[in-house]
Amino acid sequence: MGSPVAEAGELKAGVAKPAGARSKPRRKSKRHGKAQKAIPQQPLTVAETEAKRMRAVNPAQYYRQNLGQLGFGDPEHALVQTIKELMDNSLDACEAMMILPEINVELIATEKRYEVVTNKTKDGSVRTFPIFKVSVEDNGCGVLRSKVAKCFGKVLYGSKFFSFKQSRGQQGLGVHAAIIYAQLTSLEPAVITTKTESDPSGYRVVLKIDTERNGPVVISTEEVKFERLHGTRVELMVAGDYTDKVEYFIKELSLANPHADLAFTVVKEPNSEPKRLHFKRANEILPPQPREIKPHLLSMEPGALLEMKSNDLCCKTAKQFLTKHFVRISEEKAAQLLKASGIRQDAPPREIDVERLLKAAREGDLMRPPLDVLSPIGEDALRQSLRRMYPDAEFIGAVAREPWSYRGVPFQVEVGAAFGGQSVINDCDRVRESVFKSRVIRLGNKCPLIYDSKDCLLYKVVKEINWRNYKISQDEGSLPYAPMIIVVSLISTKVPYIVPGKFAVAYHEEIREQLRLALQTLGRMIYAFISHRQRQEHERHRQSIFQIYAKEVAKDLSYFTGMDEAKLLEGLLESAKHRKPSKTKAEAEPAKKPAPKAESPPQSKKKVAEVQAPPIKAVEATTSKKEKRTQHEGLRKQSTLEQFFG
Amino acid sequence: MARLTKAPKSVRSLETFDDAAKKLRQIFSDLSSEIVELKQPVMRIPLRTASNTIFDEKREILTIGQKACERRFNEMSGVRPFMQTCLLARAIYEALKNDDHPTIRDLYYYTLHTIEGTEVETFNNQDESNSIFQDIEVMTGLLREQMGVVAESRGAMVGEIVLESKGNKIDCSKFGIGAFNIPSLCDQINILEVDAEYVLVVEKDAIFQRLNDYEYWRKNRCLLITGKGQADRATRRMVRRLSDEFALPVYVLTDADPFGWYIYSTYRAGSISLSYESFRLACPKAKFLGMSMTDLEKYEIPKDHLIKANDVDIKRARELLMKDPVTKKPRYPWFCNSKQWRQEIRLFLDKKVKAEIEAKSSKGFRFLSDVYLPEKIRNKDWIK
Repeated sequence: MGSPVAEAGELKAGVAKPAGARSKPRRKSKRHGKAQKAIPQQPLTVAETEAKRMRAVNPAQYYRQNLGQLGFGDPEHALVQTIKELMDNSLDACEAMMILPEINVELIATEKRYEVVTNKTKDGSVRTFPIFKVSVEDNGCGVLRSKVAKCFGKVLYGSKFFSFKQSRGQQGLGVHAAIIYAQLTSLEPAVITTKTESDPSGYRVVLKIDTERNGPVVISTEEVKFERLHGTRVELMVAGDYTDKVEYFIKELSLANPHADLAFTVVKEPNSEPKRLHFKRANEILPPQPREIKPHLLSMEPGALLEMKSNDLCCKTAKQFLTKHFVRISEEKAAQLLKASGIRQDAPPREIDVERLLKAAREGDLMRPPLDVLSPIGEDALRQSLRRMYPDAEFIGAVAREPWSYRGVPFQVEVGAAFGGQSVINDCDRVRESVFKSRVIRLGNKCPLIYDSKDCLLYKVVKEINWRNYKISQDEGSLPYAPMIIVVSLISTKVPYIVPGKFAVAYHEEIREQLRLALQTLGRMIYAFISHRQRQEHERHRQSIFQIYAKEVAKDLSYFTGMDEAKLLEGLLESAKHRKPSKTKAEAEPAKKPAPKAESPPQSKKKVAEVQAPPIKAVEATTSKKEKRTQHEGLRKQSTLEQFFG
Repeated sequence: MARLTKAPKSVRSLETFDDAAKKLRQIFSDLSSEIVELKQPVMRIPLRTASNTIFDEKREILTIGQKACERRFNEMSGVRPFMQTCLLARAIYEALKNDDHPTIRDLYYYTLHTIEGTEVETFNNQDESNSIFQDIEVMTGLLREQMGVVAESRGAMVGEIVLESKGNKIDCSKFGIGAFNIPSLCDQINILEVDAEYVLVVEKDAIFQRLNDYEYWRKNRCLLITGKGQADRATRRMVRRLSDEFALPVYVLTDADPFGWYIYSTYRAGSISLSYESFRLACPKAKFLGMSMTDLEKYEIPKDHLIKANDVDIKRARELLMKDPVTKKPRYPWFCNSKQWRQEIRLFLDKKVKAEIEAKSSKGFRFLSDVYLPEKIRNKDWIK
C-alpha cells in the first residue's frame, strides 16, 4: 500500500545486533505520561538507519518526490488516478456513514496546457497536455469546518498505516497525492466545498499543501450555496491525457459498487460538447462495513516490524508486544515464538530481533487471521450489478468463494460473468467477423484496476483456466474467444500489489488457488448455459428440418392415396415431435464393411461400371455419416451460438 | 432339317404395369394410414448386404433374406431418405398412371427441385436418387422393368425366333448381318415361336458378329445372344425367359480368364449387391461352355497365344473361391460347391495364364464356329 517504509524492507539480511550487547540502563523520564522516544545506544543496523532516514523526510515531501510510484507518473495515468482517489474517498466516506453513495464527476478541459519537458515528440517539440478541471462531488456526511484544512492539507501518517482494514484507497491518503500533483502541474490550488447536515450553508476552502512542512496553506474560505443537504465537492486542476480508460474506470467502478449512483460528465476539448454517462444503482443494499483488525505477524515486512517496535510506547515486555499488537497471538504462542527466536519473554520490545522473530513466525504454525473482517461485493449484488450494466446479456453468473488468507492476510475472491448480448459485445474486442475476445474486469477492493493487466495475477489466472472445458474456444494461454465479460474481484485488508502504484496483483499461491476454483465454478455455470442453449438450438434446427420435409412428404403421399394432405401433414409433425434414437444406423453399420469388398472383382474392370450400379453404393441402404452432414445443406443457418462454438 | 417350331410352354400374357401400380399404392397407403392414425410411420427396407444374402440351394440363386432396416420419419438420419422415397415412389406411380416409361435419370430430374420456402434440394446428386430407387425396388419386390422404368440396354439377339411387340411381328432370323436389339423393357415383348435347340450367349460383340456372319445359328439351330461384355439386365432377363418359357439350355462362351467366369456368373446367379434381382434375372441353368483352362491344353492353344495372368486376375480368381469373412458363407456358391469349378480355378492359379477366344484362330478362322463349339456341345463338354 504505497508505504515508503515498505521500501526499507529491502534490507540487507542478517545484520543483527551484536550478541550479548546491552543498552545502558535507561534513565526514567521526568515527563510522565508524555510520549518518549526510545533512543537505542547500540550501533544502528542498516534497517534502523534506513527507517530513521525515512522518518526524516516528511510524508508530503515523500509524496512529492515519488508521485510516479503513487500512480501519477504520466498524464494519462494521473488523470485516472486523480479521479480514482477522489471517488474512493467519496465511497469510503459515504459507506462509513451508512449512506447510499451518490457521486457526480465532472471532467472539463480548460484552455491551459501543461508542458512535459522530458516527454518530447519525434520532431523534438515538447509535448503538452491539457489541464482538466476534475470535480468530484458526493453526498457523504461532509467535513466539519474546523477539520477541512487539516484533513486535506496535511499528509497523515503513522498510526493508520499499520491498521488492517479493507479499504478502497489508502485510507484517504491518496487525496493528498492528487492535490500535490495538481499543484505541481497546474499551479492551481485545490477547492473543497463541503456541508454537513447541521451547517446552514456550504463551506468553501481554497488551499494548497506546503510540502516542506507538511501542512495546509489556506488561501481563502467562504460560505457558499451547496445544493445537497450534506456532501463534499473536491475540485482539482490537473494535467491529464483523456482516453476512454477514464470511462471504463467509472463504468467498472459502478460495476463493483452496485449500490452507488455515479454520474459522469466530460468535456474533452475546451468548449466542446459535453458527454454524459449515468450509472444508476443496481440495488440499494449498503455493503457491511469491514472490520479493522490488528495485523498478523506473517504479513509484516521486516522494516514495518522495526518501525512498530521503535514506535511502541506501551509495552514493557516483548511478550506483551506480541500479544497486544498482533492478531491471534496467545500468551503461549508468544512465549513459543520468543523462545524460538532466542529472545527473553520479559526483554524490552526493542531487543526483539526482527528477522529471527519473523523466521520463527513462519515456522511456528500460526493460526490464520479472522476471516470475517472483509466486506465483499456479494454474489447477489454482483449479479444484479452485471445485469444492470449488461441488460441484454444472455447469461449472468457470479461465484463468491469463502474468505481465506495468504501470509496472515485475510482475503476473498469473487468472480462474475456476463455472456452474450449486444451490450457485452460492444465491450469486447472484435477479432474477426463474429469472433470476440473476452474482456476481463479486475477489481481490487472494489476498485477497478485498469493498467498493468499483463503483470496482474487476476488476469493471468483467467488466461490459465482451460475454458475449452466449458465449450468456449481459446488459444493456449490466452483469453478465451467468446462475447463475455469476466469480472475478477479480490477483497483484502491488504491487496498485494506487485509494486505500490502499479495496478497489478502479485502472485500468491492461496489467492491463485481461490481464483482458479472460483473461475472453474463459473465456467461450469457457463457450460451448463451453453449446453442448454445448444440443445435448444439443435432442437429448433431439428424441428425446422422435419417441418420442411413433412410438407413434401404429405404432398407426395396424398397424391398416391388420395388422403387429405393437411391430415397427413399434421400426422407427420406429430411424429416428428417424438425423438427416437437412430437404430437404423446401427443395423446398417456391420453390413457396410464386408459388402464393398465382395464386389472388388467386378469393380476394377471398366466394362462393369456402366451397367451394374456401383456396388458399394448399392449396399448403403441408409445415408452414410458423410452424407448426413451435407444432406441438410441449405438448412444450416448459422446461429449465434454456432458461430462461436463451431 | 425339318423345322420344329416350338410354341411357348404356356401362353403368357404380357405383364402389365397395373400390378406395379397397385403394389406401390398399397405400400404407401399403409404408410399414410399409419401417419393419419398418429402412429410412427416406418418403412421396412430389406438390407442389401452380404449378411442378408442367402443362396437358395433349391433354386440355385441368391436371394435377399429377412433382415430389413427401418426408415423412420422422426429421426434425423431417416427423415431425408424417407422424404426422398415417398417422392420417388410418387413419381414412378405417376409415370405408371400416365403410361410413361422414364429412365432413372428422367426420374431424378423430374423429382429434383427445391423444397418450397427453403434452400433445400430434394436430392444432392443422382447417386442419392439411384440409391433410393433401389430401396424402392427391394421394398416393393418389383424390379424397375416391372415398374416401367427403362434402363440401358446393350444386348443383341439373332436366331429363329419370332417376337411380337406393339402389334409388330419381328423375325430375328431376318436381320441379315445385323441383329435384334434387346430392349430394356423386355417383358413387354411376346415370344411367339422359337425354333432352336439351345441358346448360346457370347461375351464379346466381335465374336457375336463373326458367328452371325457365318450364320452359326442357322447351321446349328440355336439362338445367338451377346451382352457385349458385362451383361445388362435386359439381356439377362431375355436369357432367363428363354430358359423358363422354352426350356432351352443356355451355354455361355467367354474368354478364358476370371473376368469371363464372372460374366458367366452374372448370367447364372447374379451378384450379392444385386441379389434382389436374381429372382427375375438369374438363369441358374446356364452352363459354362468355354473357354476353360482345360480347353487350352486340349485344343493345343500355342504357348505364345497365352497371356500371363496379372495380379488383378489372380486376386479375382481367389475371390471366387473365398468365403465371406463375416457370414462365413461362400460368396460364389456355384463356384465353391462345384468340384469342376474348383479344379478349373486351381488350374488357373497354378498356371497363371489366360487366353482370349480369338486365340483359337491360330487354328484357322473357322475353328471356333466349325469345330470348337459344335464339338463341345455335342460332347456335353461344359461346366455346370
